[in-house]
Amino acid sequence: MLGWEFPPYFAGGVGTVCYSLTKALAQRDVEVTYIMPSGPRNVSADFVNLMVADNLIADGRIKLAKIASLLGAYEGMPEYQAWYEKVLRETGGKAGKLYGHNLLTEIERFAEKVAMIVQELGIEFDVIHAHDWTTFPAAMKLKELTGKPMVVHVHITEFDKTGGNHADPRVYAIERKGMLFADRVLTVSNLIKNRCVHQYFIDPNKISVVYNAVEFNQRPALPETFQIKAQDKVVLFLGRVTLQKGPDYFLEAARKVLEVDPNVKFIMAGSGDMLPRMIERAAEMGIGKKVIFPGFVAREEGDKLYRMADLFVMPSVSEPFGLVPLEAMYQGTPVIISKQSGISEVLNNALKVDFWDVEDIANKILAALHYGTMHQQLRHEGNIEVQSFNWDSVAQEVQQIYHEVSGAW
Amino acid sequence: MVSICFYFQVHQPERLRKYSVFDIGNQRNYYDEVKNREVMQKVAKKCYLPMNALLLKLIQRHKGRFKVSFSLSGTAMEQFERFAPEVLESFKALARTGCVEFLAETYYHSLSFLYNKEEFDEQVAAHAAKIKELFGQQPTVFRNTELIFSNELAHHMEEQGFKAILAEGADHILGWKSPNFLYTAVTAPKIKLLLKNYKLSDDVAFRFSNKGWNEHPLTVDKYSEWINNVNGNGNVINLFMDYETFGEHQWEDTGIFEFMERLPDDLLRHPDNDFKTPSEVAEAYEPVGVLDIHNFVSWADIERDLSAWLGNKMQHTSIDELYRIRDKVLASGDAQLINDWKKLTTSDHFYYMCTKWFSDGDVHKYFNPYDTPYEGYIAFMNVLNDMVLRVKAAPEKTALQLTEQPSKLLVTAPEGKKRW
Repeated sequence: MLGWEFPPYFAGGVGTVCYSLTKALAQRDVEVTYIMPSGPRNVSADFVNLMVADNLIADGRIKLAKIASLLGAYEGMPEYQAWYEKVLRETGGKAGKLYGHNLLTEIERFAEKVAMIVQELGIEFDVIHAHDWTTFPAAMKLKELTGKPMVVHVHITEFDKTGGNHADPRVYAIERKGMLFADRVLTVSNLIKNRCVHQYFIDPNKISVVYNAVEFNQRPALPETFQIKAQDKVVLFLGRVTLQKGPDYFLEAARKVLEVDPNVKFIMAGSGDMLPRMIERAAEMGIGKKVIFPGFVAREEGDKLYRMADLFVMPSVSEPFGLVPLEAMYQGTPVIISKQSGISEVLNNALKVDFWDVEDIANKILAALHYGTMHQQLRHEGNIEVQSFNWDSVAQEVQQIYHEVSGAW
Repeated sequence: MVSICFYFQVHQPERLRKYSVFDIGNQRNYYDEVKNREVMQKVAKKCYLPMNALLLKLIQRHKGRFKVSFSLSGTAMEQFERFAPEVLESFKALARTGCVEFLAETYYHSLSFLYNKEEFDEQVAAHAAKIKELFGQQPTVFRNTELIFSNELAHHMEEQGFKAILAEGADHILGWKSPNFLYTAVTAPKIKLLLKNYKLSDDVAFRFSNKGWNEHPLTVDKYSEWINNVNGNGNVINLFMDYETFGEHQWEDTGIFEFMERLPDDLLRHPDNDFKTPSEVAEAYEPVGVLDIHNFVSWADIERDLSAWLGNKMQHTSIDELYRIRDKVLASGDAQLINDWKKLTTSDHFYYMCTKWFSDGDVHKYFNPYDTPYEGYIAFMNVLNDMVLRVKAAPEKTALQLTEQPSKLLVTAPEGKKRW
């Protein structure tokens, strides 16, 4: 398995998904050697550890191999460049010998390293499973080397990250080549599957949709009352404050709601490049006092916010899957989700909107806050439904696909 | 002697549009006329027109020996008038043959019997008047919405002077008894019960094109043989189904029309078979037993109960609120408002809010104009809140309030003005 850093050092959703999937596979007796870029913590030593991951998962079936690399799960070219230069400064230029001078060279270097380690350590495996484009070249190299079947797992594409504008052709080329080279392409929703078919021209017959699941934390013990709720109901947005997540539509809807119901507070939790603009915009609209911006929140804080909120809204412009609404539902909070999300393909007990239809979002916010019967039903049924998203069934599907691709080989 | 009794249900609801909270007090067009027209014209083309033409041909060919019955909801008849008058004409042509019986039902295809008997009686009377006006018949046999039935209904309809009533021949009410005889209800000794033979009905309505069914394909020979097997062991085979079975649920290319075209020839070849309408069945045969049906039964889903319309709290809240404002709506004297209120009694609105199909995802989803049942609830409650404003604006200035309101500002502001 070629993936991303496990918790607690993960950058976002993909890390969590890799971790949960690997764990669930191991519990089904699949032996996983997990190779990942380890970040700049090992800058002085260009070596790899092959270790039994007992500290993370008490199970001998997972081995971890960390490769010193500056690759990150979500980065584009400029982010990589910035990080590279920072590391370069911190190490007094030494890092220049270790890492690629840009993202593409680093990806190639990572691929070489993976191939080298697999050979040197004599790692044996039956299937190669790679998560998102930056690991595709490594997977292709391994396939060339060993002739083993290759599965690529598409969590997000360049089109989703850029909102369809200015997709980087170099990234696109690597994504497409990886998918073409793969024996099977896994996508986290039909939304992404269609993207692979129509924008990457991949044969739909070799694409399997495997929806994500979610690992639930303990429900936090909380006081029953919140100061903020003395007067007002609370509507929550939680996610990166970026174009893709639709924070601007959330604000527009908030304004419409407040026009007819002043007793509502809106929380926009998360950080991102659009955050300063959103704070300004709320002030311009004259709803500054009604919208709270707590910035980035850690997972536990997030759980508290879910519990506090009467309603969670995910107005994403494009959302390959969308785990967050499931977390909110687990905490007993009804959700409004955009139809432009993978999760809306499978979730029943949620209100669904087009992200651009601000009036409909406001309509549904008001209805969910005030139609108590419906709120109760969403809360109750949603809480039951969300428990069906478990990793064991996902691992079962993936295991089946492993059997299919190795049998066909 | 065995009689075959066909009854076809024809119903189309007046679907609501996605009426928003922000429409309350501003918009009185509650209906999705585009969708309603589209559905009506599509079903007319695929089912009503070709099937009516086929039935007319069969009636003429068999010179009065082939007969069928219909129940047309008032909301369907009104939409024929608006969107597909040629369909109405073709029903009139069928009526003129004398081989087609029209049954009584509630005008709005409602659950009013469960909530308000006065409303129920009004709707049955309004429906009978419409049937009389369009087809010149006075209905004598009653069928309730979705074959919802109980002892209480039998008693009520007997008092209203009906001679027979249609119900589902569900296993849990019949036990070892056969649906192929007439019965009476323990509460109503005079009114005769015709029970749906759900096996033979559903073989056509649901299983006809199901390739996973071990009897597929269903040939006329095979089906006639099953019917003939009842001979000597029953008086009547009640084949009750949605009319949209023909051409809409079972598409034309499944061969459903050819099947129906050949079936009467085959059945009439057997000298002991004939076709009868429900009132003729009631005339011809005597009941063989008494049924005690305390709880409501229906023909819906596997449960054969009310859970498709009244299975969750949203369904209960919305229908309770609807009937709670009835008196004040009627007292307003506003004919348009009263008409709008009555259209909300149509059972489909509550069916759309059903959440039990999540587990078996089937026909409910197919017929639902909303993305989720929750949207059905929102649209319905928003419309109801607007109606409350209209009641309050009526000359009587009635104090009225729903327990569920989307915003105080929206539903308490002075009437007659735009609010923002």
